[in-house]
Order: sequence, then C-alpha cells, then structure tokens
Amino acid sequence: MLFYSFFKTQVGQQVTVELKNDLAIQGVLESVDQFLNIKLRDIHVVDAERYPHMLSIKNCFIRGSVVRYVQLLPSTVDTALLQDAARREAQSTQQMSQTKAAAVQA
Amino acid sequence: MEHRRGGPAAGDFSDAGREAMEDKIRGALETLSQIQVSVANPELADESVLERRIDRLVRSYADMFAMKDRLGVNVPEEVLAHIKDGRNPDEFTSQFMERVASENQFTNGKIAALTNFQREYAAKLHEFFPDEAQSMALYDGTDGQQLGQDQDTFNAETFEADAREIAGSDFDFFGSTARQQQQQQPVQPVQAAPRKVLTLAELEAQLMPQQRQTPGRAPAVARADPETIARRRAERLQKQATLQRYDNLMTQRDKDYIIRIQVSQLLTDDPAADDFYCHMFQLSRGTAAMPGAGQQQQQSAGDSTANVLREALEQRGMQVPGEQAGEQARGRGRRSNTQSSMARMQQQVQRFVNEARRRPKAPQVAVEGALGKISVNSARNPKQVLQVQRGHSGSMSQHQQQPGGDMRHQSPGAYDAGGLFAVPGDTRTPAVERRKTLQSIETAYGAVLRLEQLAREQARLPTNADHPAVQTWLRAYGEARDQAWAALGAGQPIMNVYPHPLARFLAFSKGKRIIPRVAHHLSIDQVLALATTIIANFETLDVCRFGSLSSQTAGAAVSARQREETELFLHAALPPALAFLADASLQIVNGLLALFLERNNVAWVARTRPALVLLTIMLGRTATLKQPSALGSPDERQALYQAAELYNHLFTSLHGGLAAVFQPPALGQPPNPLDDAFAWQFLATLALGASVEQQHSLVAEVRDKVLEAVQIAKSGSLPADVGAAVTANVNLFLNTLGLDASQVTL
Repeated sequence: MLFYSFFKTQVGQQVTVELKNDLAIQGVLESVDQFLNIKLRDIHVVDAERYPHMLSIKNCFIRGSVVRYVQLLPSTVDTALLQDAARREAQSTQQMSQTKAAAVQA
Repeated sequence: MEHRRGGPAAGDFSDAGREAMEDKIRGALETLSQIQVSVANPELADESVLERRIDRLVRSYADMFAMKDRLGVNVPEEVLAHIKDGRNPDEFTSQFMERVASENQFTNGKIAALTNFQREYAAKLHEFFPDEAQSMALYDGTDGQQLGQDQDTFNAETFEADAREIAGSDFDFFGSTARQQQQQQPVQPVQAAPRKVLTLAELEAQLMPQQRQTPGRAPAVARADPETIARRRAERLQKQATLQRYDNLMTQRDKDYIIRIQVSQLLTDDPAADDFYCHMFQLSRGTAAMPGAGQQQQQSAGDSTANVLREALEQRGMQVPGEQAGEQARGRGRRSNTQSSMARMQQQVQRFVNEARRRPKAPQVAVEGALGKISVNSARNPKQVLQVQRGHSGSMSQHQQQPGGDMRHQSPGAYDAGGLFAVPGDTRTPAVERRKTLQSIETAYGAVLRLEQLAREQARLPTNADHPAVQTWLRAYGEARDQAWAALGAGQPIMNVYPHPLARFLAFSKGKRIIPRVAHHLSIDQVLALATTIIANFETLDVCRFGSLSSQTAGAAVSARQREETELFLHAALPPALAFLADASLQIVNGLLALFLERNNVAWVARTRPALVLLTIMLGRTATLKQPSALGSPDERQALYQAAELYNHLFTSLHGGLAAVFQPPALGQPPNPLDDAFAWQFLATLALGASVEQQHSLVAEVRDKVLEAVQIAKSGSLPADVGAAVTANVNLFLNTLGLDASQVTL
C-alpha cells in the first residue's frame, strides 16, 4: 500500500512511465489503483518516431506489471516522509510476520 | 340486300345539309324498293316504269354525290366494313367508346402524376431559385392559361402517341380531331381537352376502384412522419425488450457482497495506518482543492471511506454522483438524490468495514479434510520473499571493509580503522559496530514515529486525566520516549568506548535528521545531557574530522558530501543544543565551555565550522549573561570569574591560529566572499569578551584578512550587494573593536 499511497499524491503531476518493452510515455497521471495500474492522459511518446501507432492516442491505461520505471519530479516528493512511511510499512509487515509465525507455532 | 333503317345519328345532326342528304337517301331507298318490286314481278311492271325508277335512282345518286361536299360528316371506314360484314355499326361505336374510356383513364393517370411532379418541382424551384421562378412559366395544374409551349406539345405528344398506340397508324382519330381542334382554337381546346378528359376521368374514377388518388398533399417527409415515428418506437421497444430479458440476474444481496469484497481490499478507517504517505503529504502541503472535500472533511471517520469510494468508483468508470451533480446542477431533486445516494454508499461502506473488522480474515485457512494450512494472500499480507540466513555476517563484511579502509572511502562507522584497536576475542568489529549503530538509529526512528502518532492522537483524548485511555496514552508515550532516548545513547557523556555511541549515531545523515524530531519530545534534562555529550565528544564527530582531511587530496564528490553532512549537522543536529544553550544559565554555559575546552583540542577543532558556530553561541550567551546584575550573589560572581577564566584559556589556545579560522575555498569552486560570515561572527563574539591586549593581538592576527576583505569590497569587482555584505561582515568584527571598515586605509 505504500506505493499506492505514494502515487496517489502524484495524481495530476507530469510523469514519464518507462515500460519493460522500452516504450517511454510521458503524460499526466490520472489515476492509480492498488495494483499500480496507471492511467495517463494527454500522453506523448518520448521517442515518437519508433512508435507511429501511438500518434493518435491521447489517454492510456497501463497495467502495473509492465512498468519498469516511473520518472517523477523531485519537488513533488517528500523523501523524509517517504522514509517514515517505509519504516511504518516495514514495522507493520514485521508485526504481521510475527503474528503469522506465532499462529503457525500455535 | 338488307337495309337497316338506321342512322340513329341522323337525328343528332343539326346540319341542314345532313337533313337534305337524309331525304335524298330516303328517296333513293324508296326508289330502290320500287325497283325491287318491279324486278320481283317482271310480268306486271312496265319497262318504262322500271326505266323511270332506275333513272330516278341514278339521279338521286348524282344529287347525293353533288351534296357530299356540303356535309361535315366523316364516316370511319370501319363502320362501312361493319356494315359490309353485316355487323351492327353501333357495335363499332361501343367498342370505340370502351377504348376511349380506357385510354382516357391511362392518360388521366399520366396527367395526374406529371402534374404532381410539376407542382413539387415548381415548389422546390421556387424555394431554391426564387428569382428565376417568375421567369419560368410554371404550371400548377389549376390555371390552364399559364400553359407554356412545352405543355402543348406535352399534351399533343401524349394524345398522339397514345392514339397511335391503340389504333395503328391508319387510324388517327384522336390525332386528327385534336389537331383540328387545336388548329381551330389553340387555347380553348387545350383547356377543354383536359377538362373533357377530366370529366371522363371522373366518371371512370367513379366506376373504377380508386387507386392511389393523391390529392395535393404535403411533401414526402411529412407524409412519412407517423410511419417512421411508429417504426422507430417499435425498434426501440424491441431493443429494450431484448436487453431486459437478462435484467436482475444479480440480486441486491449479490451486489452488496461483491462491493464488500472489493472495497474491503482498499478500505481503511485509519488513514494514518495504511495510507500514511498520502495522508501526511496532503496535510503537510495543505490539501489541494479536492472535489467534494468540503462535505467530507468534516467527517473524520468518513474521510478515507469517501476518498477510497471515489477512487473505487472512478476505477470502474462510473460517475461519482456527488460531484457530477454538483457541477451540473440539474435541479434540486436530482442533486439531493445523488447526495443521499452518496451518503448511503458511505454508510454501506462503513458497515462493510465494521463487519470486516469484527471478523478479521485469517491469513491462513484450513480446509476440512486437507492436510495442512493454505495461506490466503491479499493486498495486506502479500507473498513474503524468502529470507535466506547467511552465516558469519561479521567475517564477510570485514573482508569487504578492508579494501575500503583508505581515507577516500572512509565509512562513517568504521572508526576503528581496520581493526587496529580490536583485540582478539573482542566481539566488536567495525562492521558489527556499524550495524549496531544503524539498528539503534532505526529504533530511534520507530520510537519517534510512534511518538508522533501519539501526539496526533492526543487531540482526540478525553480531557480528564483519570480516564484509562489517557493513562494508556501516557504510558505509551513515556515508553516510546524512553526507547528513543536509549537508542540515542546520550545518557553517558563520557564513556570508555571510542568513539562515543552518539558520535557514531551522528555520523549517519539519517541520525542527524532524527535528532531534532527526538529532541522535540525530550525533557530538559535529557536535552542537557544530549548537549553535554555532543560537546564532550565534539572532536570525534565526523563533521569535525572532515577538517583533518586536506581538501586537496579528497575528490570533489567527497568534499561535496562533507559539505552536505556539515550543513545537515548545522541545520538539524546542532540547533536543539543551541536552543538549549540560548536559554541556559551562566553556570551551565560555563560548565559546557569548560568541558569543551578540556575534552577537545581547541586549536584543531576551531578550524571546523560547527565548532566555531558552537563557540559563537556559547560566547555570545556568556557575553549576554555577563551583564552585572543588581544582586551580586557569590555564585554569580564566581560564575563570572569562571567565565573570564575560561575565556582567557580559550584565547590562549586559539592564539596564533586565528587566521586558520577562515576556511580555504573548496576545491574547484570559486571563493565566495560571503562564506566567511560565520568566521567574522566568531571573531566578533571573541572580541566582545576581549581585554585590550587581547584585542590588540586579535587584530594583529587577522589584520591581513581584514585588509583583504575590505579591499575586495572596495575594489568594485563584485556586484554591489555582495560587496555590501562583505563590508557588513567585516564590520561585525571591527565594530566590536570600536573600529569601522571605512577607517581602514589601504
């Protein structure tokens, strides 16, 4: 849920999504869901010549599993807060694994 | 020879000539009958009588022949043929009438169609070419006088052609009559002809069944309207019917079930728990205008539910009712309807959440009859990565440590310089120490996060202190605080461990970052202890050790990192101590200063910026507190005396090295005259407490620097504001001495 929460703050920002097939799409992040599927609007392909079939496309939906990178603006990210959120996440998963282990032994 | 007393038409003819001819014919007939009698009885009749009768007959023929031109009667040859054949000439007439009637009907239909066409065409023409319409002679079928030339030929063609069709080329009745009529009366017969035809047509119309009688009607579209409307409606109904066949396959219960499953995956009632980043981010940045935020922010419980609900709906491509209706404002009833539906959805979601919480889903499920447990993965407990235990992590990391033990890659925690001070049998190795430090930092972070969470919850606690919730909260708060304090390791300022745990703690940037957050929750004593520890171990801090590395050997990246760490230290780690100092009493300041001077090599440390800043603050505080109070209590006097002593001590230790206070410019970067501000501040505070001789020596030492600075400021090679700033800096120092930059003569 950490990155889902993180991407929710990025909604409305300009991002560049690089896919595992080397296609890089720039656009405004419209929505994200728990699987990190991404919806972009007003897209513009980075290397447009190689992908002429994308010329007319304005919006797109990208399945989360095919994303390699998402490039953001650093000014939109609060790194200290992100570190804290990651620590909380780590703590909660630790707790859960502990309870799991306890449940297994019990 | 049979005679037919015929000529029923004889009575119809009004012509005198015809009557005469009739008499003549009757006379001839009589003569013929007389001849017949005389011939029949040849014995009785005279030849003279016979001669006389034959003569009479011939003479009547001659008269008839002479009269023929005066007659206007044309008898068709077919009538004669009929008579020759012995048929009734009336039969011919009746046949003829039949033909005329049918032909008339045919022609009438043609006329009607063409008239309609012409009318519509004229209308359209009139519509599109209103100007030319007047010039064209248009026939609208009612007024025959407007008939143009083409119309005549039209009629003539029609009639002629049809006549030829029926009767062959030799019979030209219609054509001849029409032409005659036309020749005689060009306008009238045409007017008469259609009228005649029409009257006959009307007769026929009465006799024959009416087919496609179209009175002058509206154009084709309007005519088709009721039909197409009915057709479309029927289609629509049919489509609806086919679609409705599969309606209501899911009951409301099914729908709730599905929604519950989907939403419970996403939902959280406590935004800080699962949606931490997003929630905190929005709080810190100030919530940007969230649509529909107004009504939802009020309910803290419904806040996250509504947001998640909106997201869930948007994902599924459905409209979010409340906002859309609000935007479009389609009337009251609708808006309240959608708002209430939104509220209903929220209630539903709330119910789901409560139910889900009541019955927490077990991460493992054991099916009856199965051997073992099946773990259920969801977004909350995802599939865990395998944790592979590596043995002897210490030895492995030691191998990694030694190649990186030179100055360039000196890691913050490895003060032991490759195990120089490690005794065999000692469990402490650089890597172990490093890891311990990192762990303590993480513990501190965890504790701080808990503290902050508790601080957020503090607002929601009941006010009376006896409430058990308050007690638990206090207990939790105290525990977290103690844990944070323990992780810092600042309890003992001086330990036999080198370097001090706190020094190691502060060696990491994230350690520096956590200090202000921890200090916010610490008590005064704890802050004092923290400050004491920092001061006591000041020269072991990494920011001070940077000074020992000459900047020429270190690379640009390293120096950048050093800069960053120093900045971070000065902005994050030091301020709590400084803030404490700013409010401390003279004794405490004296004690700290004494500790500083005792534990650290001042001359060496003074080259580092953090030390200078610290000293500046301390000396400044001392100077502020040195104002003699009205009550000269012995403790205060002693403190003042101590302060003076300490100052002298400081001065003597700094003596001779004051020029080194100014740091050399960083490698590869142009010297920025404004960087020395802190140095000038230090010198100024130093000068504050100086006696006259000390001031002299002070000036003597920094003379070159002063001159240099003033020269740069006055030379004008710098922009005006920078020059002014440099002058101000120098003046800081000079003013305390009672001097000014303008007094300096180059």
